[in-house]
Amino acid sequence: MNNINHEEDKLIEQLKQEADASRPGFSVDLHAKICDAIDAEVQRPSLLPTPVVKMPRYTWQVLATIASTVAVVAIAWLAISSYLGPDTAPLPNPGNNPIVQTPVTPDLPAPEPAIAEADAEALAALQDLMASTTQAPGKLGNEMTTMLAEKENALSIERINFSGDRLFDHFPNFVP
Amino acid sequence: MSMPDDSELVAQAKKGSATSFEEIVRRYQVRLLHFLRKWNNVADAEDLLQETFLRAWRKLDQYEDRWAFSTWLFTIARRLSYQADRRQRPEPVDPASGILDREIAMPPTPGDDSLWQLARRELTEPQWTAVWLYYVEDMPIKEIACVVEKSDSSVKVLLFRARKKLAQAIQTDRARTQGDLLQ
Repeated sequence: MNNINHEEDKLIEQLKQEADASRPGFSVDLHAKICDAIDAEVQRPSLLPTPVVKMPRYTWQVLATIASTVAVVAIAWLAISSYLGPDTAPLPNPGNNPIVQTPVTPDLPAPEPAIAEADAEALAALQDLMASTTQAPGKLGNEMTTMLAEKENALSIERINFSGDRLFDHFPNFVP
Repeated sequence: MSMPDDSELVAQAKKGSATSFEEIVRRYQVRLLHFLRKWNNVADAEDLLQETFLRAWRKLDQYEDRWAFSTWLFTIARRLSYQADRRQRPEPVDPASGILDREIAMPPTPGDDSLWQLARRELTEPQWTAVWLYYVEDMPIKEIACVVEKSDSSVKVLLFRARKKLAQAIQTDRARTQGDLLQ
């Protein structure tokens, strides 16, 4: 064991001696060359590009939070309004679902004596009004359709007339 | 008037004093060149030395005071030397794993017959660097660990194995020489 350590000590000593023997001297020229390179580095204008002014990360986080919040609120508002809003709700079609009026049959029991005759007349008038009201959208739709069709026909006739006029105007040009 | 120590010179250089940095160059020029010449020819070693100081100057703001400035310089020099060596020849590949292996011993520099040449032939690059810094530069284990980018205990293992390998290589050389003489 001691022999091994002794060998290693000798080895280390030899390594140190050889390193000292090969140690280079101080070179003034090399020093000057390095110093010149450093001076040139100092005087050289920076090759780095001008740093771009960036918004700090905190600002981006705040903006992202606000944008996502606004988006969530908008989506929620649209969803709720489409669910509850009257504008987008389907319109009832009175033509398809007519109000079924209970037929008044003579078998019905006599009205309560508490209801006066005037009240019965008012009730009948109200039922007529309700019937006319429920049929009104259908009538209005029919009238609008008719009106639009007439308008389209009028426009078509106007276009035909206009084309005819133009053809008539240019007709002499085609005749030799 | 006492000479300013490294930390004072570095502090002044960080403020832009090229004169202070040139004093640092003067202090470490020989030591770094000595180290670099063991791995490169004279011209390449001088170029690498200049590049080491230039890089240190450029990256001076990244230097941390917890390490000695010499440790930082040797770290830069070692990396540059290794990169230059890698550019000159392909990276050794471990045939078993097929991956790049930095731990394979480097070929010796032609024309160098010293014990250090034997060390270069027998030792891996981290082992060689650890031996050089420990026995020639008298650098503490902790600082060597920084240069070779390993833990303190790894550096101790590197040194132990390096000594064993070298002693064994010397014995083998002696046995071969005696055999040659007997023939």
